[in-house]
Amino acid sequence: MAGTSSAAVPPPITVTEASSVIRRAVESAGRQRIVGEVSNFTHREHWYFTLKDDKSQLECVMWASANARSTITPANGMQVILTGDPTHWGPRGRTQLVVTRVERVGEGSLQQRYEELCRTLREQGYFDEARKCPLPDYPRAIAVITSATGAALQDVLRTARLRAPFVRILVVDVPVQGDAAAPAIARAIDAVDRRADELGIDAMIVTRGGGSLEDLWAFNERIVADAVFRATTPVVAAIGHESDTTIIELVADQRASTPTAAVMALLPDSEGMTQQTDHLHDRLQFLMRRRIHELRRTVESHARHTMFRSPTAVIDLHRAALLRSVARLALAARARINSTRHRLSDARTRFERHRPAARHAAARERLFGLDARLHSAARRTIGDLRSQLTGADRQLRLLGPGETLARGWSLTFAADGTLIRSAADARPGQEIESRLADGTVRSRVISPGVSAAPSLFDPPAG
Amino acid sequence: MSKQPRKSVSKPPVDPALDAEVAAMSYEEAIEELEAIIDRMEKGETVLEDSLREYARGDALVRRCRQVLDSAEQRIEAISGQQLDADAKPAQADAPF
Repeated sequence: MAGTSSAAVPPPITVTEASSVIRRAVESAGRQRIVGEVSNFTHREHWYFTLKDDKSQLECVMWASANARSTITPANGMQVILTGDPTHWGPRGRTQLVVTRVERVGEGSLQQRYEELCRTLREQGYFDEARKCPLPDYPRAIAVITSATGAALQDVLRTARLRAPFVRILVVDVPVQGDAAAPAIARAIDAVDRRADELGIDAMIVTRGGGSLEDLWAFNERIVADAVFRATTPVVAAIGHESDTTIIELVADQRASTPTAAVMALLPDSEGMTQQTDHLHDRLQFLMRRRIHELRRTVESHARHTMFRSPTAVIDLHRAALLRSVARLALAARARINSTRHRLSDARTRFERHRPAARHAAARERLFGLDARLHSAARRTIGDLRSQLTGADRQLRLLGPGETLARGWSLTFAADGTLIRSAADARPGQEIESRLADGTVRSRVISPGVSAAPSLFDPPAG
Repeated sequence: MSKQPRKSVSKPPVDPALDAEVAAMSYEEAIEELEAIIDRMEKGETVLEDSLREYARGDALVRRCRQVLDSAEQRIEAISGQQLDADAKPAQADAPF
């Protein structure tokens, strides 16, 4: 059946009516956020442009009332996020977006800004490990840059009290979130660094407790990164929770996951220091004792030397050595004298032999020699004779008549003094003299007679 | 005529000038010098008199290190970032944070 029902077919509507229908449909979609690239931008009282991606495009308008409040002026090629309401405008038959807000992609997103700054700073060497300075082993004082009312400061002070109560702490109060935070933190870092010597500060901690990316944002600002980069005082940064990594932590000389960890990294452990001190003290005493012991042993070993045990031993040793030296010296001297004399006499002999008066001199020498010998011989002879004479005298005294006469014998002399040895020598009437031990007797011979064998002990014939 | 009192040799005599000099040193300076003295003594190249003098100094340094470690009260000062930047002096924090 080809029959048509005229009642079922609606009557046609006008273009204007249709346009209203479409507008209502488009506007029912409600407010959108759309990302895309700006093109065909015309800068008049109202802003007209096209937002596009690689497949589609969308007409956009931003009325003067809206664009006056915008911080961003779009430009062709700019990646933007538009917030706006889609609509359909009948007079031109256009479907378009009425824009209320323009955000720039990369600035609009904190994450993108973070990534972009990270890239830039890495390229500029802000994160290089080589430029980071080592933390001091034993800081005298440290600065803590944080909020005086924050929980992070409590953690820092509690840990410091337990770990190293002898380290002075300077708390530098700064806002840690909001627009004022980043400049204040950067100024504080600069001030601590500038006055570090004056205040005796050897390192600083920049810290803040956990929060959202927006809360922590100050620590991702370039101005803070620059201050840390400039600082010559070592910086430890501990921002947010362990999972958060802020830019300041990447630039800092050391990153810590929490405020407590920052203190642990920076402050020495007093227990360890006490142990170290005790150890060094023990070592010092041990070494001193050992040194004294060594020296005492040396002294004692020297004391055991013979030299100290026998007081004269060393003198004896020296004396023996001296005598040996003297003996050798004497020998050497004699040998030298002898050889010199020998050579001299050789020379003289040879010389004399060639002299005209040599013979004469030799004769004279011989004569001198003989003369000397003669003298000596004579002297010897006289001596000998004298001693012989003495011996003879003693014998003479023994054998002489003295003792014989004393025994009763006598000697008889004639008048002329001759000794009458024989009876036959005596003549009668002859005067004779007998010598006895104590005197003489003069007598006259009566009758001499010779006996045949007179015995010495026979009484004389009278 | 009184007898000379016997001197103890176990402990080096305390020298006030030495103590004053050492008291001005930081823990780090003290520990570094102490280690240097121990190094020299380990080499055993010093004569007895020097050893004794170094030992006395080492003993003073040990006392200084212990003195640092024994100061139990933490000194906390506070200042605002702005005041610090304006070269103001930090104040002793009388109330705990």
